[in-house]
Amino acid sequence: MTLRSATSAPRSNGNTLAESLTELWRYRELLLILVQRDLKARYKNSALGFIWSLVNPLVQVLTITFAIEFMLGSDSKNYSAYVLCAMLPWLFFSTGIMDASPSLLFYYNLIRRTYFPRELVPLSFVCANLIHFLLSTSVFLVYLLVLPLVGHLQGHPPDFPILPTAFLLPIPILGLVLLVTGISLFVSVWTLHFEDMRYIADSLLKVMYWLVPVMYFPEMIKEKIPGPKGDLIYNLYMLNPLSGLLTAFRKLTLQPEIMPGSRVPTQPMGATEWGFLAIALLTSTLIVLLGLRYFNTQKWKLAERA
Amino acid sequence: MAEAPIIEAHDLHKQFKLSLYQGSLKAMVLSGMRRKTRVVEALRGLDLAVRPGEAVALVGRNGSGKSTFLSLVGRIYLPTCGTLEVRGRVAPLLELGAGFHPDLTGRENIMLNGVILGLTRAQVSEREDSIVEFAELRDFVDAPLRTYSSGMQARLGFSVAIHTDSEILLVDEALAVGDESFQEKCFDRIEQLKREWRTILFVSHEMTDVTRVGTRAVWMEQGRIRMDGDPAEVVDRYLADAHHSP
Repeated sequence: MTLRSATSAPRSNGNTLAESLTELWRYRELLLILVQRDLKARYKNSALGFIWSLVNPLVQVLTITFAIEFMLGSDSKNYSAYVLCAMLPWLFFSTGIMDASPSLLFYYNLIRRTYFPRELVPLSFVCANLIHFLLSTSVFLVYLLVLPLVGHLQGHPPDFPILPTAFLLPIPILGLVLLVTGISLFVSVWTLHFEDMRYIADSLLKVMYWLVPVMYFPEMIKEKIPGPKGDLIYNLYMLNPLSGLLTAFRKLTLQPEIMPGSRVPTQPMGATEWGFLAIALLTSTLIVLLGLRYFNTQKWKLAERA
Repeated sequence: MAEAPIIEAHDLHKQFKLSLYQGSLKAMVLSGMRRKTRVVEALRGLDLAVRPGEAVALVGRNGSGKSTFLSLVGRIYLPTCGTLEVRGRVAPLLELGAGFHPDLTGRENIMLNGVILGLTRAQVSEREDSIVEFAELRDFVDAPLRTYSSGMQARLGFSVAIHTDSEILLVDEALAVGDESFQEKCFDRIEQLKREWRTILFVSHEMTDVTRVGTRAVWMEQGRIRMDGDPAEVVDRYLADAHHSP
């Protein structure tokens, strides 16, 4: 007979971090099923399911590029690639958090009636979004490789915008996964207690969208505000882990770019940028550890929501 | 009866802090951010040992702590204090319809529940036919659960629970579900589980079920045990008491 003891010490609020990770590993099949279910629900209702979720950011990026290049006038060759390169990880960040936020409510019926590690619920939505993000990023990278070849066939010299350092992308991807997971663990619990949290998160993400380098180049800050004051603001801006990660995504993938409305090219991935990436990785690790700890203190109270 | 108890509770207490905000920020702000909570003591020092193969019926009035105890055994809550040891896997049927998701199909819910209850995906696939067959839901298995009647949901819940390898079956309220012929099927299966030396812990207000299925009955009152023993005797005393104090 398989024995599974559920001894609980008096007044124990939950398990240690190591115990909860072991428990997660034991329930890995359940994670697989939850992820499968989410992906299926997302792509079920249309034959072009995955294609549509690629087309949406693409249309958004093309519209923006069109607007900027025609209205501001620009010498950038690959502005849309630059925007898309940060847009895809941004969408993983924002959609991941927005999906995870009501996730405990979504599975509340199960939480009230059966035991399983509750972390799996927000994690499954993060994983489903990660798979989606990896797929769209792969399509994007293939596009960057194929497009110059098409130009080459038409007689132009091949000019690859993609850098070999794109092989280092798993580093910022890891950071982003940690960051999204950590925030999701907090937000999912808060949304269960206060359903308004979902709308608050949505608003905060809309603000955050403009506080990180998706639509513009952070070097513009230094250009607009010269001197030590600009440097300070730039440094503070880059200490946001999401800024550090999105910048790494761009600079590892793409050649330096002439910024719109200026003749100055962006900086390549240098020592400073690696420094900011390292800080972002550390901050993200800290956030995920805090998130797991917070979830552990809360998880036994989830089913007691009156 | 030399075997170690499969469920062992010592001085088990469970308190609930009921928040009066009900998940709304507005209500919280309007109440001036004061923490308005009410403490409910559902269990106040319960001692109970259940041995493998026993079918224990919990009887008692509403609010006596029966369902709370079942939920604690099913690891839905953590005890406030005291100890509870459960030495086996648990298949809980708490309230109607087990832990189903209304938007998922019958088949998806079978997979989800089977895996939650400790089966592998391969094992669930293997048993799926038999689960659907027992629940008599062949034509509905690909429809979302919200289209099922409550009887159909209850049948599916019961069927999934008895097809797992859990050593302990927890049943709250509906021991035998569905129409009369289905209920007989449930009772047959429960007898079979008892012969397989599985442990059943159930809450019932049907005294005929208590005496028919239970090998032992526990009468609970205000979070404690009032009487523990032979089902027929416990039911007699319980009913007599219920008539005297309305």
